[in-house]
Amino acid sequence: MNAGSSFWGSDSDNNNGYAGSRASTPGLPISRSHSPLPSERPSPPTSASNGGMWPGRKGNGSANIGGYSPARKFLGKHLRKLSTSLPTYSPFSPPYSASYGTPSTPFPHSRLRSCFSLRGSKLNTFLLLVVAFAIFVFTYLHHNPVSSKIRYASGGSKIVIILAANQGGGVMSWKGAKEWAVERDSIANKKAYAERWGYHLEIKDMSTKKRYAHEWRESWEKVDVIKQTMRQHPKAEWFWWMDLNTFIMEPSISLHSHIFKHVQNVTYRDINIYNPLNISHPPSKADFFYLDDISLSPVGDDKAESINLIIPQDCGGFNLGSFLIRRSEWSERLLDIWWDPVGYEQKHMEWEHKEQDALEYLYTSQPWIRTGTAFIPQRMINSFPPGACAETPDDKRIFYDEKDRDFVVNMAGCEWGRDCWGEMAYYRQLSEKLNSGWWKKSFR
Amino acid sequence: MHFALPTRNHRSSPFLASSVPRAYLDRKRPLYAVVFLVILLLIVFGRNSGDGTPADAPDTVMILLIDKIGHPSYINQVIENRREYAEAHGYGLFVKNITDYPVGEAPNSWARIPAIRHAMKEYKYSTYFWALDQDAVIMNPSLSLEEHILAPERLGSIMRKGVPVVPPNSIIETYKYVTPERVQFIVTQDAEGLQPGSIIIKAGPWAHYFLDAWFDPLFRYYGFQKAEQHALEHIVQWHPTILTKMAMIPQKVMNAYPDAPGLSGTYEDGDFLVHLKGCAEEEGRSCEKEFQSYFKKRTPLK
Repeated sequence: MNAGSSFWGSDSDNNNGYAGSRASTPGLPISRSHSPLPSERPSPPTSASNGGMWPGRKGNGSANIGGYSPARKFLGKHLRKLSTSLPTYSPFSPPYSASYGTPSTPFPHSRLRSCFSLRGSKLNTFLLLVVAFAIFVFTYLHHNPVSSKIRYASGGSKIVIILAANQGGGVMSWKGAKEWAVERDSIANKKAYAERWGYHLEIKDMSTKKRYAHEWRESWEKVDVIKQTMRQHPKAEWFWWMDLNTFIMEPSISLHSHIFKHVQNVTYRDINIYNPLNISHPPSKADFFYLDDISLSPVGDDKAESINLIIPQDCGGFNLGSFLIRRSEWSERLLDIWWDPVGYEQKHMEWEHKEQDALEYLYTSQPWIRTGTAFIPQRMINSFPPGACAETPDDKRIFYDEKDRDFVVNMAGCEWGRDCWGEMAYYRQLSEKLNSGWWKKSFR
Repeated sequence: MHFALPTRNHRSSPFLASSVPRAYLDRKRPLYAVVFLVILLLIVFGRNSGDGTPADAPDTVMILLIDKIGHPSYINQVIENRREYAEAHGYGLFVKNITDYPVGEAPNSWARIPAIRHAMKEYKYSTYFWALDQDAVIMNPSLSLEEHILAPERLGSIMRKGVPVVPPNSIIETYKYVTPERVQFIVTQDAEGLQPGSIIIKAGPWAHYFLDAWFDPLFRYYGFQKAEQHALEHIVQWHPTILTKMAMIPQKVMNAYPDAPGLSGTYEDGDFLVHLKGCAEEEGRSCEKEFQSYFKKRTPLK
């Protein structure tokens, strides 16, 4: 509230100056008012004698300025407030505000003329520009339900955030107060982010159920959940998987500006750039001479269109706590081959991290997967808190840095002997601190 | 009387041709010619480089893997049989030794998979790749693959839909709604199951996926009883992205046996080819003898 009025109402004094200028031009038709809801304004003044106030301004001084607060829900109200308070925007009022303190002050003739050089169509054009600018600010920069809708319509709806709740929970372990708190914070964080940018949010219950014939198959559902979400959102393109123990630290950054706009520059195709698993890449020409040139190239075809999977790597290899997958024939094939009973039968004891290990295996052994996979530096979407990756505590590529304002923190492994709730609360407060200030809250 | 176009000299003519001084055009003419020439050259070169397809790139490539061990004597006749067919229809012929491909500890019949991928690398502008085992004889070389199998109308009419992948009654059946245009992989079935001795694969990303998945080390070292054949049945049945791209056609069309009991897969005169399946393993059979007798019987090319 305060934030809004300090910006929008900064020159409330000048209203009078402008109103005064209108007052002494009875010839100017009242109908020039751009209020979109004429029925809602008070009856128009019939003569200049009633103070010459701008129609609808009566009694609305700076109080309606609060209409810009993001808390407002209704479009109609917004637009009406917007138009009625437009004169506050007039940039040509400040110079006059000092000299024309009250509407009744008479104007010197010459000044009058210079003031009304903007009459007629020029004035109209100017007002239109002001309105256009206000609408632009309101719909693209300001953060409110309307701008969310617009962002949704203009591409945000192509992105779905999949949030995995209850991982490993269910029949195996009950949630205590802290687990509930973690879940609440995490969900609220994603919800606010998705709403802000017009993305879809799917919260998926990953609790262990006796759903699969083989007990080990349980909690291997990541693939099934992604497939299901793709079916639920047939028009979406990118799907961002997030574990529950993640926190979006910088909600003012959109995925588009952060990644997709320059996906080619923020990702790398050649795993040798950071290769904790020591996967030999590209496949050696001696053993795999039969592969095509793109499969043998360290960067595949190196085109942005061929990127279908964007994964970060931590000190232990691929990390699927926060990754992106695009709907495509390629990813349909990957999601299909990811779980195979023969591979599973041989490896399920060895693949501790289930899908993650399986994906590492597939990447290593099936060349077609490399051509559609890109890696993203971990701290772009998956920074770790100090407790994770304890083996390499000094690696700058892994850990969250407040100074760099990393995008997302993933408290990976906090359920194994660390305090998930404590970490979540710490990062939530840190994010709030970093993003405090009315500008940060209301504008992107 | 009205004319569709006013005469050139008409004063109200919207065409400015007559109002442009002749000298002006005369001066500019060489420039026009240069521009025209450049555009023409661009078109010519653009068409030539296009997607880089050389004019002699065959549309279809035949793959023959040679296993010299055990059958050295007639191998040249096999190659001759394939070559005369390939030349008659303008197909590429890709001949390699089975030992060229490293398959690890697995049976060397797995080599057919990297061989197909290799052929796709060598013939990167070709569309269809037909891998036919060496113990087969093309009996009726006048049949082209396009007319006999690949043309969408033909394929649509011979595809077997809703048939168990593994006879007699596996739960997974071939897909009912696949259209011939979307087929990427053509295979036949004998009495025991899918038969990879004669398969056609369409080049493209799907083929890379399919071949890589099929060749996965976890399948190779799993010890499937019939090696890559069972691995093929496995991935076809477990992965819908493969099943929906597969067309199963009658065995007789491209994989007839000398004697296939109970099924309509037995070779008859006039059939496309005969596959002497099992001639090396089964007692009382000799690959060479059978091959020679069929080789003599084949319809000569005109």
